[in-house]
Amino acid sequence: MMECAFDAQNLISISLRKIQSSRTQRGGIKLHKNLLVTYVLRNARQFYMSKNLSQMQRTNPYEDVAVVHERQEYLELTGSFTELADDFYCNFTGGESDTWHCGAHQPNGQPAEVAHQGASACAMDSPSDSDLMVSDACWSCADKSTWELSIPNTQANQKTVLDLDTHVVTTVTNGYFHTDCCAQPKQPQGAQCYTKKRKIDISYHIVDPEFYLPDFAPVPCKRMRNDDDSHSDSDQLDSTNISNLISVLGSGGLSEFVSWQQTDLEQIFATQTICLKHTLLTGSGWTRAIEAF
Amino acid sequence: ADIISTVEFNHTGELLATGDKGGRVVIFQQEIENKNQPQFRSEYNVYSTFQSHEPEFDYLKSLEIEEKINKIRWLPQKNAAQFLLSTNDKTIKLWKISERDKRPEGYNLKEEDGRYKDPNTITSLRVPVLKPMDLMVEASPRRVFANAHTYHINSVSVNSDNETYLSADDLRINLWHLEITDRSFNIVDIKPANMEELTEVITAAEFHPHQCNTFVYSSSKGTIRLCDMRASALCDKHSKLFEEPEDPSNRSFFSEIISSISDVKFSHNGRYMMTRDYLSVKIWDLNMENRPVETYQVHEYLRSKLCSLYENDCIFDKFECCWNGNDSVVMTGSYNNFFRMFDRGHRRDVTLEASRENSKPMQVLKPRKVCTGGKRKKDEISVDSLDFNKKILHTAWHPQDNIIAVATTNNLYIFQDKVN
Repeated sequence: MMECAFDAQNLISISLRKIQSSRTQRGGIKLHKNLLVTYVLRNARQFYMSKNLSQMQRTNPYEDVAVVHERQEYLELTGSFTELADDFYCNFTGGESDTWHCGAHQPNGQPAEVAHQGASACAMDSPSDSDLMVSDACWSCADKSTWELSIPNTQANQKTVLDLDTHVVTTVTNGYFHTDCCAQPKQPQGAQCYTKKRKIDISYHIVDPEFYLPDFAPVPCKRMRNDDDSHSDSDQLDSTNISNLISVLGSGGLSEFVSWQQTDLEQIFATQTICLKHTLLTGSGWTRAIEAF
Repeated sequence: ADIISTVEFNHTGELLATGDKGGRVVIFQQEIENKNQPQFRSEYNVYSTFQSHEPEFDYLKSLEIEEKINKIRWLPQKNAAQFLLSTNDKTIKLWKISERDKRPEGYNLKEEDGRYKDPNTITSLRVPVLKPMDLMVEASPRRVFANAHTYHINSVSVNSDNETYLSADDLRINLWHLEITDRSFNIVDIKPANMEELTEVITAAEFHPHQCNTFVYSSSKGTIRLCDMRASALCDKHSKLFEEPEDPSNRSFFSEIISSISDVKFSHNGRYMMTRDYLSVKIWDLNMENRPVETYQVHEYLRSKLCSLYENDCIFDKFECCWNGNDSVVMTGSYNNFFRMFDRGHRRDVTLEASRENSKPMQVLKPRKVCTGGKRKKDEISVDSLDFNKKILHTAWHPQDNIIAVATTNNLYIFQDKVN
């Protein structure tokens, strides 16, 4: 039985490595393969958690089982990533204000808050213009909001990261993400239809400098697809969501694994954070976009 | 770059097309001159080679689009030329392959080498005549069907109406008209509104061989959905759902991976369909949804090795399968350059190997056996000595004769049943 637990740990680290390496594979991220890998992750995790629980029960008979269960449920990873997103919102303790708060997952399915509109509006400024202009607009957003925010880093083991897609600043504390705040909101016209999609992005609060284009087009209706529609189709940007999804699993979404796999996962995690800090300083994600043209 | 990625006979079996990772298509033609003579041995010679797809770069997403040919499908022949559809991850192309064995000679205004004559030197008129020339096979792209797929295309299937075809990617299936390239109809869309809720993807799709309104698509969850295009424009609601409940005693970390269907093929008679998952081949009767009518284990000895196969990525290999001409035998590939045939009527199966050493001309292939127990018999191969880099993912069966094409990583083998 101990062997199986060890195998589960092994599987988890192998899986995370696969997800990590898939991001640099030629031809783009393979959705099918990564989906299957996440199933293995889920299975291994479930097995490991159940082993953990039974072991704890044996060794700590006086520990409140309810507490343990609660903790376990809170960290429960299922096949649904919506629930994963929910976990982080449970953890959110940042202050809320009238001008902004991060889009907590609304149980009644209402669109997310102003901040998303702000972020998306920022990106929406010139959807049809060259990327150069979009990048300028977004950097100005970032300049105003992100850099000037005072982020309390009271704990020594905190890292602060910026999501270039959504301009959400997050602080990693003890391996758990806290969503701190969002970019300065604006009230754009006609951005209502974008909020639902934006909510999805926010819930990941991904640090992914590779995918610089925010998701700003509406969810397409099923229709005849014209050749020239494709580039304005938000589906073009769905790979952002996929990469976000994978980034969740790669860097912080399964953050509890960090304590299990100190060397492997922390290296992956640290690498991503370093990458992002580099991006913050040099804007290499945007630069790359410009270079590509 | 010359890793074979797809193999397909045309409808008569005279032509065999292969696509490779480098975007090239190579077409072989059967030597048929002596077909009616005894001891006739089929030979397939190279007929045409062309570059179908080139690597592309998606600047919007900073992604390279691979030129690898994922699928080739032949169109039924309507005139002297042959047509096939070839696809990479994003773009489908219709190619025309035609022969030229005559050329016009005796132009009035041009020399034989193409240079234009001085009109003042022309004193008489003549009619150019067609003279025979060495056979030349030309391939030209007639249609390019682009920009309709956000995700990676895994299947292309020509409809029996010979006018339309479908293309499927991970989340969507589009219906095209062969003449129209600037638009397609989306007929299946399983993308959830919230990508976080994604639980399965489309892995393969195929039109029914006779019913032009019917098609099936398989999923990564091991289900097959049969859809009727007459029911609605959007076929998100299936007409039939084929699914076999999972055996709980076989549950493992990898249950989801090994139940993912990698290929689905209708039988020629249209009554059955075959699916391939990682360890088995299943035959389904279209009239029975709750379980397959036949299940064949391809390499059950790998079930205890799934962890290693996951580590080395072999568990993600997508094996194809095919029917013989009269639907009595099915074939699929395995590792160590083995391929398996299952005779449905006689309940027999055989494992054969495609390798240079075992494939001298006229040599009968010897059945192979993988030893799963402790004691290895002579000529048996133990599971641990199987070479997992030598895999046969693509096989094809001639539509009428017992001729098979088997693709190893870099080589194409063509085997023929003994002529009696």
